[in-house]
Amino acid sequence: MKMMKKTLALLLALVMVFGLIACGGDDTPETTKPVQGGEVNSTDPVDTPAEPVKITIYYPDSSTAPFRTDWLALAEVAKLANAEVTIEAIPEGEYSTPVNLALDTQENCPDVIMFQEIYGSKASLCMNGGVVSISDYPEWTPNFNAMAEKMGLTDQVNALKLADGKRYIMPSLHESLEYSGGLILRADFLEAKGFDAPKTFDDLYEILKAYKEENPDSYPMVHYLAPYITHRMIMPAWGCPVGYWVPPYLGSIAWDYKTKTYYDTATSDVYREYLQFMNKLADEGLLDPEASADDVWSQKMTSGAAICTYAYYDQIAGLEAASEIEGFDLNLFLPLAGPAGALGENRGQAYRGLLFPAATAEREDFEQVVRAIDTMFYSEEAAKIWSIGVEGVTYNVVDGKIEFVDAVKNAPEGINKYLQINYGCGTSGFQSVWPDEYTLLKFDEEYAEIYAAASAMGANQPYAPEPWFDDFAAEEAGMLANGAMFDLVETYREQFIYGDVDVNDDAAWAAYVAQLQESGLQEYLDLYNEYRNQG
Amino acid sequence: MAKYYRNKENIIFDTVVVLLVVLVLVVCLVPFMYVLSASFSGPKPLTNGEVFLFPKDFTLNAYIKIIEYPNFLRYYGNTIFYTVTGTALCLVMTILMAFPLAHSKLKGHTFFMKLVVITMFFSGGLIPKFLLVNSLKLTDTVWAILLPSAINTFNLIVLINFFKTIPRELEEAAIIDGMGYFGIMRNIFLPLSIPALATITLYYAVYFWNDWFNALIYVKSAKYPVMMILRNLVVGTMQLDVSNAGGEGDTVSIAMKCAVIVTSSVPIIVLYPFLSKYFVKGLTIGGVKG
Repeated sequence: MKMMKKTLALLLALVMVFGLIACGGDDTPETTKPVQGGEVNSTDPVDTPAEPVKITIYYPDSSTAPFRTDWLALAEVAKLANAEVTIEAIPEGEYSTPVNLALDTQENCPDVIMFQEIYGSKASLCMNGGVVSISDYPEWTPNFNAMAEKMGLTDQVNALKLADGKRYIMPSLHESLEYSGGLILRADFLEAKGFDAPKTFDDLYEILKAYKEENPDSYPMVHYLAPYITHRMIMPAWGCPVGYWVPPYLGSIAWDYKTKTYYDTATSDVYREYLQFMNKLADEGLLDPEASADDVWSQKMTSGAAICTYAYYDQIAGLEAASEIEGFDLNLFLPLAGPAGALGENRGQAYRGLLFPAATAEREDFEQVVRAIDTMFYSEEAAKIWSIGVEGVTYNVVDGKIEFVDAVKNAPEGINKYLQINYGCGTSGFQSVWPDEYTLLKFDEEYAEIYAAASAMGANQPYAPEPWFDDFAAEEAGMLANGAMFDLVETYREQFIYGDVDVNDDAAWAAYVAQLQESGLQEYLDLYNEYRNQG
Repeated sequence: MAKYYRNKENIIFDTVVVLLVVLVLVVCLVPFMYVLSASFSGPKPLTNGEVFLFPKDFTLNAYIKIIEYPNFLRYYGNTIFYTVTGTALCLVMTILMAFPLAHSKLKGHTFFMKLVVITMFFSGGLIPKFLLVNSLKLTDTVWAILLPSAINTFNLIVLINFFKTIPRELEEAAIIDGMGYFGIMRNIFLPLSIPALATITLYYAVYFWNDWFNALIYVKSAKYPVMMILRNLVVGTMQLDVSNAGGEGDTVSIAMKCAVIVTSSVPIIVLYPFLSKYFVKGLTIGGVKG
């Protein structure tokens, strides 16, 4: 028995030692296996080194298209730039933690960090030397400059400059403000009842009411995941973006695109009208009082417990496939017209992108790193590869037209998702140029039509520019926002909508306004206007 | 032992207790049963809300998909390694620190106890801790996961208090017989402390099994534990944000989320029955003198 115990202890110790050796070694792990290129990009104007330039990149890993080292798109663009790329794929939900840690400490920094926005404390970090001011090196980013100009985004790119007049990110460039989510409604019900496609919120109200009359137990309209998804898709049409999760994410104030100033939206009359409309829906049982997790939301939509939601086009196919209702047909509709016009969710054309931590600039081959990144993400060839893959593998050109190969074309998950999962094309963490001609190839005609119509009508406004705060102003704005103000806005919004507080009662409204003012609304507004960025 | 009378009051009391226990059991088991059955169900009944306690349209697709999920098996292996090695290391370190601190006559005992207790209330913060680990050249090694967590203060105090319950006479007798302190610890204290050791083993094992944050900040993705995938699948898709055309509405299938939850929680759940007989005793005895 004693001998057995000793043998067991020895075995355990050996396992531990071998385990440590095995896991603590310097072997290059599979997930970070360098992706190496061999050819030299013909657009590269400098003396390209014979050896590939080594670059480490932080990348936000999506759970729906998890990073794979064998992604063709990455290998091909690395080849274009003669780069050996090591990707550190960090779960997207936790991406900001290692990124902030790397930037704050400048220890163990990667050379490049993808998918970044510059605002708040990060803006201070940039101006204090934590991030390379990439606008200082325009001659090293010829592809980016050319692409921004080609897409007409030079002004938007310049608007990303901070108070010191410098730009710290190379943003993703979107040819259009993409309309990818909005009102999703059962077209089969509209057809059966002789309704036209809704154009206004009154039209929507009539449709929901008709459904409720036929199905008294239903709540015809249901929130996807959380009410803020619905709000941020509807509120622009009412001209009253309010709430922490509603762009411009300022809670109680918003950006006036005409006057280029901030205005108080949370106490505005039009916001009250919006709340009254939503309250009418809730009061008449037309709006589901519950916010539904994706599985419950799916159940409600597919079973007919609801016919209307604000969500994304991608989700329609899954719901249609799951429903057992005969003729079940969901459509994405154009934004409904409200007091501010027919506007949908705010989008960005040049707003989020990659940056170089200050430590990267200390590399002797910093210029090569920047040029390689410029080629990998912003050249014409790279734009095509990131969008649709590689000719002969994912598509062929037949009579001058791009045709996806059968495996891609007939993929059950859809072309876009298939290309994302298997080739890395269309992943928002990597793809930095979004030309319409390629984006639309990946979706069906129905979506292409609505995309074009939405673009033509200017259905999406761009994000508001970030203010030029200095450290103190940023801190003061943060303190004001995170005091009582945001909580008040969020809490009252749902209370007004669901009737816990009567939105039609002037006294109740006045009390809400008074509380917001007490929480520092005016100071908050003044601060943003004082530091506003007019592009 | 007091005699048990089967009278009316006792029967009513027992019935209420049994009903309450059954209720608690149901409350605990139903969510797990749902997750289990959902992981084996087809997408259609899941989307239509037809699955409850038993799978419908039985399929192993979700499990096949997670095995094919990039790095799932590697991360699973990492988790097992961190749990086994980390628990073993923590036990050794905790025992080595608890044994001397259980002796109140030790010089500087109060000082060291204060040092220990302070860490329960104050920590250096994320960035100083990261800088420390980094300056020790531990980042991107498994030691960054194992060493900073090697002694948990709560577990240490549980063990110190348990050691204090062991009669001093046994130790004195061993000293008279010529036994050294390591011998006393190994041959007297440890065999008598099985309940406490089982308890802190469980605590450490659960900690290492569930830990993902240390891996996130200290090591590169190849050394991530499986919990990172679980978290990304379950939490990542809930943080819906606007990004690009055709990407926002992505959701991971419910069956797949459930399958990941099952595969990542079953092994640690299995540990409980083996240790439960020691668990309560270890905790309560350690706590009496706390």
